[in-house]
Amino acid sequence: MTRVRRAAARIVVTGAGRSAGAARAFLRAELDGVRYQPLDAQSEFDGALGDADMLVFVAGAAEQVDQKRMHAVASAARGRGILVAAIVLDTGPPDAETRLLASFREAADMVMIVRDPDDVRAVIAALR
Amino acid sequence: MALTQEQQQTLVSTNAGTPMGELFRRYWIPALLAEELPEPDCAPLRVRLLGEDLIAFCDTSGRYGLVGEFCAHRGVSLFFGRNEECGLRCSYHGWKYDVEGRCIDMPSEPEESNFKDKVRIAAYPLTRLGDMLWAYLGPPELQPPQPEIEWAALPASRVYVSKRLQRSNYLQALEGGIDSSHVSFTHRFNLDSDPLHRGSLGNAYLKRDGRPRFEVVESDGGLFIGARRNADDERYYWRITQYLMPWYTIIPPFGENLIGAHAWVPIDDESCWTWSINYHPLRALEEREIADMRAGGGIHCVYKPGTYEPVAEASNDYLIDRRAQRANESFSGVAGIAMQDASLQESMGPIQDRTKERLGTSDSGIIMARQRLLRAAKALQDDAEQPPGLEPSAQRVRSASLLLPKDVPFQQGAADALRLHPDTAFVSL
Repeated sequence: MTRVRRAAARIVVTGAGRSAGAARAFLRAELDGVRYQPLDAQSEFDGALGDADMLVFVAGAAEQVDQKRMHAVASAARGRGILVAAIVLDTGPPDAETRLLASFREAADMVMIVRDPDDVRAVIAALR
Repeated sequence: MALTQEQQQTLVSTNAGTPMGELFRRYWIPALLAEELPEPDCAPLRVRLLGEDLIAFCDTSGRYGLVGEFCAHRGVSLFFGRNEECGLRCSYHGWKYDVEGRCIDMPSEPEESNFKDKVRIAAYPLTRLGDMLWAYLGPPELQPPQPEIEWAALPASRVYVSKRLQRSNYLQALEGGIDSSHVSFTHRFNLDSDPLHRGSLGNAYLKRDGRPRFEVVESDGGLFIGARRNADDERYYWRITQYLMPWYTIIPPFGENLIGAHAWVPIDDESCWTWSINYHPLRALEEREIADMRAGGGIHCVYKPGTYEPVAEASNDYLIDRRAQRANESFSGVAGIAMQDASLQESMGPIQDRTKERLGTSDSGIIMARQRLLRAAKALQDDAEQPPGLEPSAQRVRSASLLLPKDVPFQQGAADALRLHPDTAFVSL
């Protein structure tokens, strides 16, 4: 009998602001199969997406993200058949809606709005 | 690896002393249908909840009791006891217990002895709300207010409740309820014909767009899980499921049909009770609706006579009908929404191995529900933090299905529809 061993999914995480930075620090240390890629690193991004299963944007709800760039990256990922997800850390009022959220909604297959920074890590770990 | 072995073990283990077992003991638990203890001094019942063996009885004065199964004397099961004169008497030596677990008679010892006053068995509150009996297995001093989930607080005439034995861990059943994307597949050929789903405008959107996009947002008591599908150029069709800690879901409604809801209560780690509830907030249920549900329509099932076990089960391959599957009368070939779910969830094995699964973006609700459970269990264990969803305000929520302009997020566009306003209609398409 052939035993099938599954490799962890490859996930590219990108984002901006402090929450994304915190996620990056954790991911580097602990999660196999997850690569952090700054959103603005154009040439490296193309390479990073090459063998990815999923692209995950991480950002704080009130943070500034280059939305044009974000849509371009999401579009590039989709063009390669890569799933796109967004995790938004929202520690503000529960019903607050931001431009960033609306933008993620257009760009991603799934948007998760979490209140606890630890959930960012947990969600990415679950998606591996 | 999706979940670590440790996370998996934490999530699926619910016996006393485990993190999840201790968390669940802080909530009121759907334990029995009221019909199971129909009158004072009726036959006592065996009840197993969260791995704990108990006996339920209704005493002479109509008080409900839920006590440890075994007599403190020699460990005999009180199932064989006599329910008489305000207590449950062991059939071995006549020791008798009241609904609070106190030994109130000990005829096998000298009459002048006060030994009986020193003997107790475990006893838990068991209270009736509508047609259900609810148990609380946690510390007495931390007993929360009674549940105020809409269906639990409505008059019994507006609610139909059934329960069925499911031979799987509670979590894979709960996750099936949270996973809205399976409806477009598993149940797609039932939506037009099932008496409790047909006639909904939303059915067309569900079938037309099998790739919903998900948006998951934490609520005070659990999660809002929004699934959006394209309706037309300007609007999305949103189906918003409520997940309420620790094991409840409220299904988005289908047109004017009754609202559906579930609770998945662990019997032990390899089986659970699937509670299925339909209700209408404004009117009594019609005879036709009740007849349909009794016949296994909607989210209910057909039982083996005298039991709460479905006729369709693993040993008969859930009566799968390959002809119906080929003819697109049933996607999986299994009849009925309830058993379509049960057959697939039980096929994962008693406890699904989540260290080997591959989750996608449509599993976002499942991921977050696990996270909420793990976080609550840890906060309780480490910091004695009160679990979420115990406050009645967090339970006063509704699901909804509606059309919203594409630029309106569901948290805003459906905010009012997602709150429970007593004596108002629900928002449904």
